[in-house]
Amino acid sequence: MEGNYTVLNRLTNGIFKENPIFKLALSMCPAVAVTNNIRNGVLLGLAVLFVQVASNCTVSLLRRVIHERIRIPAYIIIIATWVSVIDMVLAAYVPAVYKEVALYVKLIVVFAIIISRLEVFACRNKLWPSFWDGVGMGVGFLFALVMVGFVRELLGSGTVWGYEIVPFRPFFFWSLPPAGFFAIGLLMALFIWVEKKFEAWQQKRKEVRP
Amino acid sequence: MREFLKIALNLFLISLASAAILGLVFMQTEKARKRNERTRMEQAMLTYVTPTPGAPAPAGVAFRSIHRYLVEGADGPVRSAIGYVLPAQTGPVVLLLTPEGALEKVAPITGDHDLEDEAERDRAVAQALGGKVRLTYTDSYAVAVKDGQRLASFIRGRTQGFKTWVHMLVALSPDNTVRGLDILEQEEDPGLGGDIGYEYFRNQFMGRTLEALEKLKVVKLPLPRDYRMCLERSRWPKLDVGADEIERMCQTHRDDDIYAITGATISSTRVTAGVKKLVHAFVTRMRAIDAVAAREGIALTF
Repeated sequence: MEGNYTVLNRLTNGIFKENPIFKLALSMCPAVAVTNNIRNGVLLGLAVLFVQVASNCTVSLLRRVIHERIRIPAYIIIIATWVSVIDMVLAAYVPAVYKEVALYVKLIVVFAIIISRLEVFACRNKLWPSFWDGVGMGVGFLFALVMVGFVRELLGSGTVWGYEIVPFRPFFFWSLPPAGFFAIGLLMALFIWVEKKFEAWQQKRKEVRP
Repeated sequence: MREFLKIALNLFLISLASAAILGLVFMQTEKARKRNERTRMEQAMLTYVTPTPGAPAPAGVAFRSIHRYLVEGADGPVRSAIGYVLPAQTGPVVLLLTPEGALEKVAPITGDHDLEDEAERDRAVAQALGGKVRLTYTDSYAVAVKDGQRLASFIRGRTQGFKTWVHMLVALSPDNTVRGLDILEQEEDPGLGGDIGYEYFRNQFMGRTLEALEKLKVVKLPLPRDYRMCLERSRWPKLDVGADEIERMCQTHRDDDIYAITGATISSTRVTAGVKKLVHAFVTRMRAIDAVAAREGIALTF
């Protein structure tokens, strides 16, 4: 089962080919809920990145220990452990950041993207590829949240990372939760369109210079 | 059966390892977390030490804590009393008062205890009272002092909100006028009752004297625009309105009742009732403590 994975392959897979939001459409609830500004998106994205990498590594190391039939509960325990660890560490050592992210950090336990990566990848691969898979997926998630947050914050409040870009609120609708679906849907379409164009261009290049 | 045992053991071991990790991390971080919380609290209190909220606090302000307990079975089989943990000049003491406010007993707390830590304080109080008592912790107050002068007092209390408890910090000036209200923790609906944490609601309590507070009501009327400008103090620097203009807006509405949050009348009335109750209880209790301390010659450090 253990394939040949390179670092670059894992990173591009997470960010483009299997982007958690735009391609796999996993963990959409938090993506819709917290992305009315970039800042929230970045904070949640970073927390997910950490938990994804840590859980991937743990599961990859323990893949021969965890019994096949209880792997899902075992994964949940592992994810919950890491989430609680970062929750406590942030609360103790960086209270200023914790005040902002406390709500989202606790939510990560139930993120579909994390457990799906454990089930699909980490439980069948060695530590190193699993680590990079976690990084790729985490960065992909972060990237998607930043994109959605950027669009919604700019259109909804006329600001980017809290800095005023236009002195009014162009479309307040974009700040409301339902707009999250629209933003994600439209960006998803754009993302896939760009990717298709890129693939076609690559194909053409190959034909010209075989 | 063997398979069954294997699975159970496997899951048990994973849980055990996870619990061990969590326990270790908790032991490592808990002290720091509590310290952070205390600093956060003191910073919140510092903003209300001066008569104008938010003005830089003078140097050398110290906070003295008062903790209140219900004590059952002190000095006898069924004798109930109210116990106050107070800082006296000779060290911390437990002051036992009867419900009517008469002195029952003064017991010094000996030994080195961190009285801000709840579990440790409970032990210290029980020890000071001779062990065989049942303690129920009720409230904590804090008094900001500088050179023996009271600058402000603080009530940390809670009240029932629309959904669950609303924890708040009420700051009072030495003459028991409300200086400010901070909402520490709440789980009201975001966008509705959740607005109790916003300046336009909580700052409506600023400057209410004890007498005004007793008569304070909640009205279901739209918040006047100029009053809102006066209440949202953090936006003042952004407004192109002069300080005297803001002062005038605040003066116009100084005696208005509390404007309920639109769509959250219950949250608004409950918080208002909670502030009234907390302040009333605080004032009554402090009067009792001060009277007893003066009568019995107990030198308190606040």
